Amino acid sequence: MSGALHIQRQNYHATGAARRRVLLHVPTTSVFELDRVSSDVLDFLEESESIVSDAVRSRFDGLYAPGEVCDALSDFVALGILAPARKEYSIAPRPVTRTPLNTLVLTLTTGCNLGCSYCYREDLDAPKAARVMERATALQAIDLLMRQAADQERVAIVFFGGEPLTRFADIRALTEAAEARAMKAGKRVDFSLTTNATLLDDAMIEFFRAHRFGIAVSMDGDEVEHDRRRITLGGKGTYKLVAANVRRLLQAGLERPPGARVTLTRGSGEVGRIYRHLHEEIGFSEIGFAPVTADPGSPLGLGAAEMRRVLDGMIALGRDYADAAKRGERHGFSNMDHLMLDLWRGTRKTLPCGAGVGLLAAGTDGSLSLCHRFTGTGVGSFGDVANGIDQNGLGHFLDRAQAAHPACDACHARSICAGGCYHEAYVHSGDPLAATFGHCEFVRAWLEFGLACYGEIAIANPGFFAAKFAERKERS
Amino acid sequence: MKRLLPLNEKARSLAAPAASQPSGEAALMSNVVGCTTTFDPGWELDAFGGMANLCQPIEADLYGCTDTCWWPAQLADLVNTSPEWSDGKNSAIRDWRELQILFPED
Repeated sequence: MSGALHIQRQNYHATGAARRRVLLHVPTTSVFELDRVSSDVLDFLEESESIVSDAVRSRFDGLYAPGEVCDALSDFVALGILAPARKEYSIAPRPVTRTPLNTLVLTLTTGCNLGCSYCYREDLDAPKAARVMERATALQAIDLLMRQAADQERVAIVFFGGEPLTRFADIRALTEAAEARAMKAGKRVDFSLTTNATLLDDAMIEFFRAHRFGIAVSMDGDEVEHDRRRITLGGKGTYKLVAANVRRLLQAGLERPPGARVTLTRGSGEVGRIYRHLHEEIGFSEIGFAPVTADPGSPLGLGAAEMRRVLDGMIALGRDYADAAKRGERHGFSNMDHLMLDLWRGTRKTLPCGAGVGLLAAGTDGSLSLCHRFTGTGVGSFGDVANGIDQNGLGHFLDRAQAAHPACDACHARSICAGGCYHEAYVHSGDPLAATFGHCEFVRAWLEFGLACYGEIAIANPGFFAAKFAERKERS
Repeated sequence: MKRLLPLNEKARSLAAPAASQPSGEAALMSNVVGCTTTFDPGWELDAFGGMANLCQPIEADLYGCTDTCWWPAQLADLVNTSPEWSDGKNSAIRDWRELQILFPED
């Protein structure tokens, strides 16, 4: 070693206790376990910032064999964690000139029979005043999906609203039409929908079972929890009806188990308690949580202290997930599943999500938006189902989305987060591409926790992730 | 990687030295489907980018192209019209200058 080498903090993040340290290599999302020597060498690097050979020798002489220390150093050099000059592994933005869709969201109606006080939809109507998607528009949308998905073997159609079950006749007809078109195109089509489950009857459940629907039910916890926000247009709670319908849905034995989607608002109960209610009392096998999307002045939104409380709850529940995983058991906390999947795959994102690349949403009038959250908003559309995708406009948007905020360059969560949800940014500042710094601490703390759990699980039960996610790969 | 234990696929692919990846092996062709059974190196360059160290001189191609089973190159047809074209000029290195151009009246 000649000359000084400098630590490159932007390229790694290490976490975990002294003897069980896990290192995330940020440019590639590779995960490594540090042994005793490499952990001590890393500590030394972090103390010294820059090292020369004499300093290394005097620190480790007598502690470790020179070869051991050199091996650890050479590993860090190989990963760009130690380098003679600043080392970046930035990916130049790639122009997106085509849209290889695999998922299309159909906004069947803007009408909903509920009046949940936190709903993010700007264009939500009561059922009588609802704008609905014409059959012909929906069929054009399906054709667009088949065309754009020329290279994909599997495509997915998501029925959305409003409340999609107010348009069940459309769902039935469009499912059958999409299946026929998919067969002709030599593709397999999967269906899913998000519902409040108030209108769910046995005929619908049987139809969803027969066509292998994936179903997400919006449910916020026990009666008190759920009925605070999820109310009818007249203001009455919906828990009793939803719980009864969901129990029948869960007993029907759908191939893809229905999941619960919980929205957390100001004053929400503890995440673990909500999870246990939905898992043990209702019977959901997958439950995901999301903090409400609310503009900064909203009385619903979670402040910093509440976000911390949510995070603590998620970490406590995540611990249960990790303990179960180490025993080889599955746990239904789906936020952990997503994070573990990203770490297992080594996902390096240059865009925060697939919106505008693999996924688009069609509004009731057939206009195309980035995702279901943007239909009916003030953010302009990217073409429509009749005339096709506005490739230039979309390409321009995605070019800008790939240019990370300078603050992201130093963040160890950048390869997993890539800037965060466009819709969150839009609600907070009116611009889908604005930076949403409000979430950064949450994202980093959640990744920090997930990384430590990933390491523990991968070491204690090495086959766990491959077995778990191979199954998911087949499904999704 | 020598001291870092990979815990995901990305890490394993970084840790595996490139040299251990299987690579294609080039084998000398000795059987060719078609009329020729010999392999005449000639047009290639040597390892230094020149022609001095080729295992045969480039002129070997003259023979390669004209011999009993000639390739469709602009060279003498030893089978039909000019069977004596290379008689007595059998060493490419020594004799190639002796090989003559043929004209229609020949």
